[in-house]
Amino acid sequence: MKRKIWASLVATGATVFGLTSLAPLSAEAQSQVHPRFAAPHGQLVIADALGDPGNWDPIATFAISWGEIGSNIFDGLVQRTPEMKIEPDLATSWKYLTPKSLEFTLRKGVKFQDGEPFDATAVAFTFNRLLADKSSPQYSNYTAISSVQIVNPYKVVLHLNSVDPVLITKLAGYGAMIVPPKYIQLHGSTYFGNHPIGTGPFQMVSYKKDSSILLVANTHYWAGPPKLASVLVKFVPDANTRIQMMQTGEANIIETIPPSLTSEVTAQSGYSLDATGSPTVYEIRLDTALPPMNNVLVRQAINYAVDKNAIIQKILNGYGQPISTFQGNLSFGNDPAMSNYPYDPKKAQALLKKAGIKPGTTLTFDYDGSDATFAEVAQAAAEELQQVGLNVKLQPEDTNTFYNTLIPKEKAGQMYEFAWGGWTLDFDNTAYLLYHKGQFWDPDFGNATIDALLTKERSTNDQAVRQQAFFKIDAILHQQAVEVPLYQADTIWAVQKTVKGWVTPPDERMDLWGVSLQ
Amino acid sequence: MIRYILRRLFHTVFVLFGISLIVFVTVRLTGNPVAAMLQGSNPSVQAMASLEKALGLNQPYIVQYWIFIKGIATLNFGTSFVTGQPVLPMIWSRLGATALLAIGGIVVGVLIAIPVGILSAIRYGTILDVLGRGISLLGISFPNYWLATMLILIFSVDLHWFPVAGSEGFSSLVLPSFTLGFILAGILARLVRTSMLETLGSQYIVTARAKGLTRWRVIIVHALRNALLPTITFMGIQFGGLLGGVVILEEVFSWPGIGRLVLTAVNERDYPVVQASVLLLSFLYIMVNLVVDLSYAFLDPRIRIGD
Amino acid sequence: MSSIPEAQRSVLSTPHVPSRFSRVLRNLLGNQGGLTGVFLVTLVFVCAIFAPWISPHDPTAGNILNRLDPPAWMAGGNPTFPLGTDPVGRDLLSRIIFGSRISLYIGLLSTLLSVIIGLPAGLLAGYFGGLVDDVIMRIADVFFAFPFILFAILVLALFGPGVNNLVLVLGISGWAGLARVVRSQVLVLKELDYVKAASTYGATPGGVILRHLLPNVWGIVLVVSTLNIGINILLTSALSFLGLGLDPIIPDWGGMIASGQLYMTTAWWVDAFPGIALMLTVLGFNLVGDWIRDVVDPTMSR
Repeated sequence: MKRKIWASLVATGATVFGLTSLAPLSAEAQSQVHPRFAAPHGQLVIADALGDPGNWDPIATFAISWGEIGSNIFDGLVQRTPEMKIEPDLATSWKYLTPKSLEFTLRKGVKFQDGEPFDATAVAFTFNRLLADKSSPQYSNYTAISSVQIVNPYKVVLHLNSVDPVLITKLAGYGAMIVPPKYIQLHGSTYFGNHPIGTGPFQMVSYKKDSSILLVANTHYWAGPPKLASVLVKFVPDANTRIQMMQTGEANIIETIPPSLTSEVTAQSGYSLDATGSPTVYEIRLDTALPPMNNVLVRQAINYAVDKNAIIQKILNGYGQPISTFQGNLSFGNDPAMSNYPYDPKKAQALLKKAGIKPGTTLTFDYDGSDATFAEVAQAAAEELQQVGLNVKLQPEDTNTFYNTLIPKEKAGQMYEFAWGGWTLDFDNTAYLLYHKGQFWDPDFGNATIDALLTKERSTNDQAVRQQAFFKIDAILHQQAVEVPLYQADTIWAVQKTVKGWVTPPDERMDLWGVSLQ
Repeated sequence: MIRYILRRLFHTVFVLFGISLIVFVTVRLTGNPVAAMLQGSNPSVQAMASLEKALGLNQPYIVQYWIFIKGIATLNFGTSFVTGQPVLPMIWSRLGATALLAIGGIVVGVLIAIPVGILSAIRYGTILDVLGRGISLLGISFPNYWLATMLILIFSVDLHWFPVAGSEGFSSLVLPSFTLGFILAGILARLVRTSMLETLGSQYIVTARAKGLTRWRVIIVHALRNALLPTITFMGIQFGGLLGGVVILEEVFSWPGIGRLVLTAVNERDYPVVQASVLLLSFLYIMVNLVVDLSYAFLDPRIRIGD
Repeated sequence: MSSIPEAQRSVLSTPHVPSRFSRVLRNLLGNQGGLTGVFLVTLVFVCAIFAPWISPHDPTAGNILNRLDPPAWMAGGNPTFPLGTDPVGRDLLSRIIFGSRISLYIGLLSTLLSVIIGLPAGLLAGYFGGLVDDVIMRIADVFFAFPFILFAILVLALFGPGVNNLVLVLGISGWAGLARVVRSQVLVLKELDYVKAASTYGATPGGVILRHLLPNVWGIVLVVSTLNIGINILLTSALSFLGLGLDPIIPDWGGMIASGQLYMTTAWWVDAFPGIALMLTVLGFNLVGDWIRDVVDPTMSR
């Protein structure tokens, strides 16, 4: 009796402790995909990282999680290609009649997925619906539009309240996706949010909240039917879990691989790692109102002390690009001739000495605590600042509190993380909100020259004039060292080699139309 | 008894009122939903202000609270700020998924805890006792996500027995249930052990042995049956807490449960969703509690309830 | 997460009578569980007290060029770092040794805070019953039902992150469970003849609580609290996972485990070793707690 109990206990113990010891082996052991939980033939499975937006109505959300899928269900008047060019979509051409009126010629013969025809009425309905809903997060983005005039069933004119140089780009955005008037009038907006209908290449036929959606091909799509019969998108918030879905073959495409897990993808036969530059940039912002950050010498010293390249190479595993100001290299307004402060700890020490900063001075550095990768970046930067004699106290903060309370109220410490998705790929939005006096982000910061340059670039559609203004702003920001621009993060996906025609989108908006499975 | 139940239900109204007030104030004190709603758009001050106004967030707290309470009275929990969808259906669809997971977890937890608890009790104080409890403590010594990931690595990635994630059918319920079961097992095994020790030492067990019943028969039939009573009571209490307490497991297994909904809503400060789910979960919790308190009285006649 | 404190309410047991210190010691020598527990707990305290002398490196200094070195015995391991390095290149062994300080501090202090609030609350509710009981236990219900994460975010957002605020969060969210356990114990004790007799013969309520009830609930408070120490240390890890942790430069086991979350498959040592340290600590406190309880409870003496 006694022996039996011993045996069973040892066995239980071995099994449980086996968890600890087996796990590391398992990562290397698997090499082939097991078919047991694979998708039905012809169905593409995507492990989605961004989560369920909760409503598929284009005007209900601003979340990227909507856009990455919604852009396959809906079309706008214009579209932005993965190369960030503006191209015709439901409008075949457009022209400014005056700086404040914009005429679109519409595509003929297009139908919504339920058979309802697309015409000027749908365009007018779409914008009137958006501009009547002030509680829509999309609303304020389109307030430049005052009214929509239907010239004939295939010609509309947008009348504007004010000149908006990035309006065309915004028309490729979610809020401007064209929706079916009769369907919405019949079923109401709540129903529409769960059962969306658009003119896009895929129709949503099943929606399980927080779990998955099923898209099937719209065989009547105006540009020709998509090659895939269906696409299953599973919402998988945890990065480890997504990687494991790759290892078992449960998903063909895995969204957003953290740099720490890229080696798992390269070790997996049958999958390839697809990294592309994204518009999301990271920096350490310095609160210029707080001593000793009010001293430009200290700010420059910190810029010299942080080794941006080591951070990119070591912590991001090389999956990031250096930046010189707070914008990516695709951003309109980025000066390619400019380079960031080099890593020079000696110079940093000299500058600190010149500024009269005592060694051992403590600075606080707040960051978004839910960002595991940035936590490592912050620790590496803190270590480097320690080398030049500055103590750093790191404070991981709750995401919402950090962005909505601490930063706008200037309570995020002398240094803080700042991440920003420059989604319009135009420096205007970023520069205005970050550097114009009194704006939400860093309201204390102000520089008369920068304010004047911003006003200047905002009042014209002449792109050359605007670019010159941005280059001047770039130079001032660099000289004043108001921040430590760190890197532009790569978007990293894992894609099964049987997937053809896939382009990893820099802005996470997938284009599934041309994709096929071998 | 009836009077006691009525009195407790009456108290529940006060507790829920208190919770509604606290949740209303706290979620507002720590941020607002506007930035989360405009996330991805790099909003201007003007855009945020106009959205705030459109959502009615610029009204005085007292007015907002009145609207909230009036809604509850008519069972209208409002519309989510972030998704624009009615709140109640959002919660219902997740509640079922979490309940399923909780039941699975309890079943597994009991299946692990009872053998371990019995062994620990009959081999009291020996190294076997220590080992058994060491194993049962594994579940509460390592974080949930660590345990979950290990199970996925072994049973999905290596052995291909179960899918990694999802919520389709029985096979996707197995791994999350086992993880949750492990976590519960540590506490349950401890409870089974303690109760077994108490009953094994008590008079009637000694009598049963004296009557010549075999050792295992006494352990299984007599001692275990008695030991199970407090264990079952405990699980009743756990069940209420479980509903709100499996967030991280739901994240790792992509399980569409209430924990994820609440966490997301808290992170986005989606006031209507946070308020409604906290109130609903509290109500469930209090009801389970009431049943447990009543069962105390049934199990142990020395405890008097009521006046 | 928030489900864990409910465990505290689990202990429904028979009354205790006071015990003597000598019996405790005699029992320890014959009890392997108790011995193991005392050994483990002593080990952790030795680590915490003598950390600067026993740890091979500065736990806060690292170099990202050394990041994620495997343990010394593995291929690519560096003998300088016996258990390998973390994602920022710091020595894991030194961090585990130093981490015992903050982790013990958090675990013990937060548990103490729960006891300071929960014990009197439970005693009063159980002894007086009626309105006092109703008010205290309904307040406890509010704390129970309120989601732990929301509560943690609130406190940490209002008062800022930091060790002491974390202690506050964990301590306050644990008191209600303790109060419930104590109350149910008191309800049983109150009906015992000698307690009834004391009240009848004119002992003041304060006297009864201090002289007759308090000595008999200590056992159960110990059992619940020893479990809580480990649970609270682990909750630090869950909070770090959700982005509400401590300064990651200063080592704490919970934060270290959370920082290894993205390396579970590529660098398993980052969270495995702090996890094992935590497991042994939890086990140690549990064994000690159970052993004390077993000794204190006469029905269990052998």
